[in-house]
Amino acid sequence: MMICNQVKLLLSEFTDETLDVSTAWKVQTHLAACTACTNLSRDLLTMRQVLQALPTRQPSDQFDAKLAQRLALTRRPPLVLTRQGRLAGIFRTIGLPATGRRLRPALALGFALTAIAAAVWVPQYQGPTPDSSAVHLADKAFVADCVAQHRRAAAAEPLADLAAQNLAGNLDATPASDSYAPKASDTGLF
Amino acid sequence: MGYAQVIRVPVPDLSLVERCRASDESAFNEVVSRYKSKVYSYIYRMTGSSDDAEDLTQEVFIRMYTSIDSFRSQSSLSTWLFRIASNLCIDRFRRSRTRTPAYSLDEPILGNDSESGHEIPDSTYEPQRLLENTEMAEQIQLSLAQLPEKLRAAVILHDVEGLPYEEIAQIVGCPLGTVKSRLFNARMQLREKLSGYLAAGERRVDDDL
Repeated sequence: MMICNQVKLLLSEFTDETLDVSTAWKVQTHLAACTACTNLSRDLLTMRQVLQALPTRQPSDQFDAKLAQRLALTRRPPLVLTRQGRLAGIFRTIGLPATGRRLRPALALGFALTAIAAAVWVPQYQGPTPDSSAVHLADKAFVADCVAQHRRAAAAEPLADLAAQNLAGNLDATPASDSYAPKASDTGLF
Repeated sequence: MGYAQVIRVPVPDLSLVERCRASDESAFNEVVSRYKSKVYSYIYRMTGSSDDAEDLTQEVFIRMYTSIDSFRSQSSLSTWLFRIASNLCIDRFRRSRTRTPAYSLDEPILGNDSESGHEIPDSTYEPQRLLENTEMAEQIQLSLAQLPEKLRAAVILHDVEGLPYEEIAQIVGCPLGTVKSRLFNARMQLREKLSGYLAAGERRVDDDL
């Protein structure tokens, strides 16, 4: 149940019938039980009806003639675009409300910040980074090339590099030197 | 044999605006003829002076003539004209505070003070019949003139001109909630100023019952 102060604030809209159904019903329920608010509601309604019934005032009979006289002395200004007018034109072109005087400074600030950010970032730009998959393929080719070179070198002198014995596929069971070559059983190959 | 009935469809406002832009004098005259009473009535209720109302109404249409190119059809033509009228009224009030309201502030108004010079109008409680008494109409005009300008504009645009909240918000350039708040405050102040008349009306209704 609403109290009088709450209802009082809503009575103006209640009189205009602009409240939603639920709120209007609450106000109506309160009015059924409250004489003071009912009187206020009745006064507001009466005042509105009285104001609506006020006669429409008419200008004098000379109105049109006087207006014509004043218009004869008035020239429509030529369409000269000021800086502000040009800015409004740009706003209209991009579909923004040119009359939004509060919006315009905010948008201008936004554009300015974007332009500054672009000016700072563009000189540091190094071009597109290479595709990671391409880098991977290049690395693989490089490693394969190194292995091939190593294999060729080792094939020429297989005993100089024990590690190359595996790569060359030409292992000799007899180590070249006891001090350097591991035993065949140590290699785990046999 | 039948008779062809000619039905005149009113030219849409936007079409008139386009023709006004092209310096079509007949379109301009049509706009003036269509809106001069509404604009004049609004300004008269705002200023309380028929001279000021006539002068400012002409100024509204001159402004419209000179700046029709800046009208972008984001609101209706009537809203735009009311907005021009509203701004002109504010300018006029600023320039000549002493002339507003046109009624004498020294004149006592009927309220809780029973010693004021006005008599309770001899009519029933029905608003239309109340207004048949010119004193009542003048009393309302006087009470309106004593409201602060922003409240006055809200109550005149809504209750006298019958405009919806949204259009009033566009005309006076404020949020919808502010319009509702101004309307509420204006009505409360008007109720106080007209309480003598309202009480008389209620008494009369009670007598009739």
